[in-house]
Amino acid sequence: MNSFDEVDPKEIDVILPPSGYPDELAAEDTTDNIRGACGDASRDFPTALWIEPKDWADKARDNDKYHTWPVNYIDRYTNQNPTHECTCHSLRTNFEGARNRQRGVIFKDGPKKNFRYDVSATSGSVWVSPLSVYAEANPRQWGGANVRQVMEIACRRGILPDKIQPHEYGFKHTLQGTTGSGNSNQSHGPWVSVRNFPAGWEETARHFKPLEVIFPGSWEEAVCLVLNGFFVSVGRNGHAIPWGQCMFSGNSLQSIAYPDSYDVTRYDSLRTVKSAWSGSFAIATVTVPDDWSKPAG
Amino acid sequence: MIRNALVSLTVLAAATSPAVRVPPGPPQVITPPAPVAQPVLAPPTEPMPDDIPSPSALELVVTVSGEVVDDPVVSLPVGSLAVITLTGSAVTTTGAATVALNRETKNLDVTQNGHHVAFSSPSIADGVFLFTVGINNTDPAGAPHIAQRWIVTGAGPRPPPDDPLAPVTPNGPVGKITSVTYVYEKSDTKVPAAVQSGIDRLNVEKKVLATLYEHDSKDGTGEVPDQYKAPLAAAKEAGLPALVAMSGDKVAKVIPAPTTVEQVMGVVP
Repeated sequence: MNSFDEVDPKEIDVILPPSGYPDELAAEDTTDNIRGACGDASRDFPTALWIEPKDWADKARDNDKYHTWPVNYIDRYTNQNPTHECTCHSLRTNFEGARNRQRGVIFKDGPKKNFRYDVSATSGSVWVSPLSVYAEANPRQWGGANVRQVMEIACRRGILPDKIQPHEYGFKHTLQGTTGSGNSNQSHGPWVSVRNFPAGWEETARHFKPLEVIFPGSWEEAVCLVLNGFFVSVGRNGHAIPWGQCMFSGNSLQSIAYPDSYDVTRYDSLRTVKSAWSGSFAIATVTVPDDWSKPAG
Repeated sequence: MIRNALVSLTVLAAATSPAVRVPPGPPQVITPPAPVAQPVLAPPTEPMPDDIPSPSALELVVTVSGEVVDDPVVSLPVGSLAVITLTGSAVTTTGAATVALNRETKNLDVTQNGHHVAFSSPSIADGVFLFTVGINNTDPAGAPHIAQRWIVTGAGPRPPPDDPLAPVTPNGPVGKITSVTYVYEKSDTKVPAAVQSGIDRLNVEKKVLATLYEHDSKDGTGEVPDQYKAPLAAAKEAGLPALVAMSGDKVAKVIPAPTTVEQVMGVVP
């Protein structure tokens, strides 16, 4: 998708039925609370990543030319329907994008429904399980979780791999990706509490952990992060999603596209971007393996 | 178009002081802090002389206090002013040159009437810097024109390489390239999209393991991953960011601050 293409207006500012980010949980997601949850992983926005707004369109053209948008670093959608796992699906997109960016592999068309890239199997791409975080964030299963909860969990103990992988890595511990629909690249299964996770699961999860998390101090800094190839996860209107590509009309930013956890790409208008950025985050780096072909050692 | 158009840049050696981070915004003229009085940088108002010999496509002519310095390593005492002039057939009246001073990378606009200082950098204290200029080849199949000079400011140490005009090959002849790593510091480096693309193409087209490594990253046990120990050490010696090509466990080549697809792809024959 080119960032200067017209977007389908029906997919802009879509408000969904409750998907796991209710107002009472969202209220706790202040930047300070989320930064505290990340602990040592918390980082200010680096000034080196700043791009003057007048240069945003040129940077977008650069990203179009080289396929270096955040969406170009993920090779799948996930599907949470009809669960309340949205903050964890947004987290997994952010995590996988950061990991693939470090791995140095680009998926030129981004995620595509019911499609698997051949290069996913040879590049060490790993698909993580949102459920492995959500099960601890909300043991009651329904009602959702906020960003503070899921970031604290992920930064503390990591994320388990999904049972479905693009390559057989021989993981000792995996978990179904969701109790929702899933898809051909995401397993689904019954609810499981943390105490029923596979024995010793922590040994595998620690290999899939955010190391540095950037917190933008303005909507402009959030846009700069997307322009630099970092997903920015935000919660708004009862749903949490990851911003992944800036969309322009002429040289003016109009909206930001995000791979929604319903096998589809949608868009937040600039007005929504300006109001929703607070409490957002971008995973800059994640744990790196000694051998990319053996992701958990 | 004027052949061998000249462009001048000025690099000022400041008094010894901690490096300061320049806030985002338009490029600034470098002004060193007190107590050492320093001249304020300004672009030359007259064209530079065009009688400087320029047999190759891109050369750097360095003058310090008006004297041409032929030494590959330029010593720049505190308070002195170095003028770096780009010469050669690759330098045209319009177009862009990429300038890198260690980790600082900006595009330099080449104009007919002189130069435009388009980068801002920390105050230059005692240290050693690799000043690199790159200009894209007009032949799409050709390699970019690159010229480099070492600059030692104040009481900084001599740089380790004996031949500063070539990419560092510390271990001499090596075998096949087995991995390539772009080592960088996240807080100081905006990874160029072209570099990211080049890394991807090395993976896909040349089947070489090519990755990016942020210098602070650890594995799941909290240690520096084994595969990155040697590239990290080599990159730190050269200055971040750097592209490190490995042949097995030996460092084959180090390219400081690459910015183009061609520079990245070029490390693997």
